[in-house]
Amino acid sequence: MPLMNMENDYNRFRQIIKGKIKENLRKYISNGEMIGRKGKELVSIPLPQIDIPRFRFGDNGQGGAGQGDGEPGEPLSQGDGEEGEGQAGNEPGAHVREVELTMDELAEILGEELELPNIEPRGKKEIVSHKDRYTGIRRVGPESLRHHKRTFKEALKRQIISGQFNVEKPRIVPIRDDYRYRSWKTTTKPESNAVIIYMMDVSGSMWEEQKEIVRLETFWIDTWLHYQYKGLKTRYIVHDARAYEVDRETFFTLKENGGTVISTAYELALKIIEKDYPVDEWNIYAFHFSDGDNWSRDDNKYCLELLRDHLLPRVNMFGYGQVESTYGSGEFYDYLEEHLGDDDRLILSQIPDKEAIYDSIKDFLGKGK
Amino acid sequence: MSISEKVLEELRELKKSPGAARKDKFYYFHKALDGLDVAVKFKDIDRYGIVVDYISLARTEPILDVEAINRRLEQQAETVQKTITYLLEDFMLIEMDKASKRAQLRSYPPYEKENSKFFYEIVLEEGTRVHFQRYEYNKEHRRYEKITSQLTLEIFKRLVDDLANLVK
Repeated sequence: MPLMNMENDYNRFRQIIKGKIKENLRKYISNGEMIGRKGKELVSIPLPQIDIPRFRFGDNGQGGAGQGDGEPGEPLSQGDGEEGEGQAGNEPGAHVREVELTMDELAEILGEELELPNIEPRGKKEIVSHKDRYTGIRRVGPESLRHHKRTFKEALKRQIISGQFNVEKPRIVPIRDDYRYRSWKTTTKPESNAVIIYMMDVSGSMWEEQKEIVRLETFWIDTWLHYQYKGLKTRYIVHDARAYEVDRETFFTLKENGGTVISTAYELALKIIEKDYPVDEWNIYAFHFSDGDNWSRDDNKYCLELLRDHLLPRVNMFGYGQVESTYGSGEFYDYLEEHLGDDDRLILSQIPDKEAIYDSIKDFLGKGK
Repeated sequence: MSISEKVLEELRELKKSPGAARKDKFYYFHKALDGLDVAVKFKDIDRYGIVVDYISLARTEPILDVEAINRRLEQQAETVQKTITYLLEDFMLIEMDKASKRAQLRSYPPYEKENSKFFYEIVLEEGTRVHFQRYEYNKEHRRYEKITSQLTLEIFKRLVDDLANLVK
């Protein structure tokens, strides 16, 4: 019973934590602090306004019930405090509380708060994964899997039944018949394959501030899509006037000063999809972030052709997020809206500043694609 | 007579000629002067100043070597940043696209007023062409618009001479 209470308390505490995170989700989303605290499976979240439960002791020597001169029923007082001279402390203040959440818990919170629908994978071929779990016991098996506790239990049972067990001089010797071994069951689990291709403009007009917005937004998109698809794959493309495939770290840190030719990224994304991700087997997501300042209108036209004829037919969704540079926001967003605004595979989002990331995530993921 | 003085003289002449202003109320000047192809779009000019939309200068003789073009673009970009410092907004190299042989400089930081950002832009192409323009970005309409610059004649002359020196 006490264990049950503890579990209830623990669950209640987790609910409180989740509630607090939900309340402040907009702040967390626009604040990069959390990303630096992400481990492989857990993320630690600073929660300055939460009290960690702890035992509280009363003050000692205050003449409690049964120890003082009071009559039964007389209210207890805290006594008179002594006045003293205080001094300002010179030690650092209390640390901000941090709680750990799994990435799935974080995704759940994101989903609940932003009212994100679960993704319906497209009618793709399902990939089956196999997993072995040690759940049973057998009489035969390799010595490395011998279950010692069960083996001795069997030996003890046999010795008691046959009258060989001496309580005064307990000695258990297992024989071959007593040996027990762990056995496993293979479970099969259907999985949907999914890949995200992130593309980012790293041209001269995309400064640190703009890249930080992209970094934050991709963290949340990643969190949600990983929650929806186990074993999600990610590919990263950067471009200025040319496009390259890079690793995750380079994606967020690379600074170039070239011009902006968006079609180079779309061409490379198409090449990657055609080479590695057959459309009948994969759920494909593509996200492109830029300040929209494409250097030529001819390239806008070419991008439109690449999107309409090649990329959109292959993807579950294509998200284009336009961040605002120091000088403003280019015309690429308007161009896409004008020509492909009706295509529901294309989702457009304006992200003028960090505060807008929250709504932008909702734009991208709110349709359950 | 410097190229800027010749340009000024031409612009004044153009303004005097009847019916020179187009429907959009701008004057368009385009002429070869001192071996350069000069184009200026302006709204008005008087004894003290000019309301100019763009200034474009191009050397007719091309540079053929790509390496030489890119070296020259880098030098030109550096020269702009060092010399064109009299517009109250200094220039900064934003993008240098060696593949398309083009460099883009903008004044930094952009001047912000109410819902708008204002900045000058100089685009250098092929090592032989330069284009000067002022822009306004309106946050509400999310659009760049080309706008005019109001310059004193002294500043205008200095600017034309500096731009001409870049591409000569």
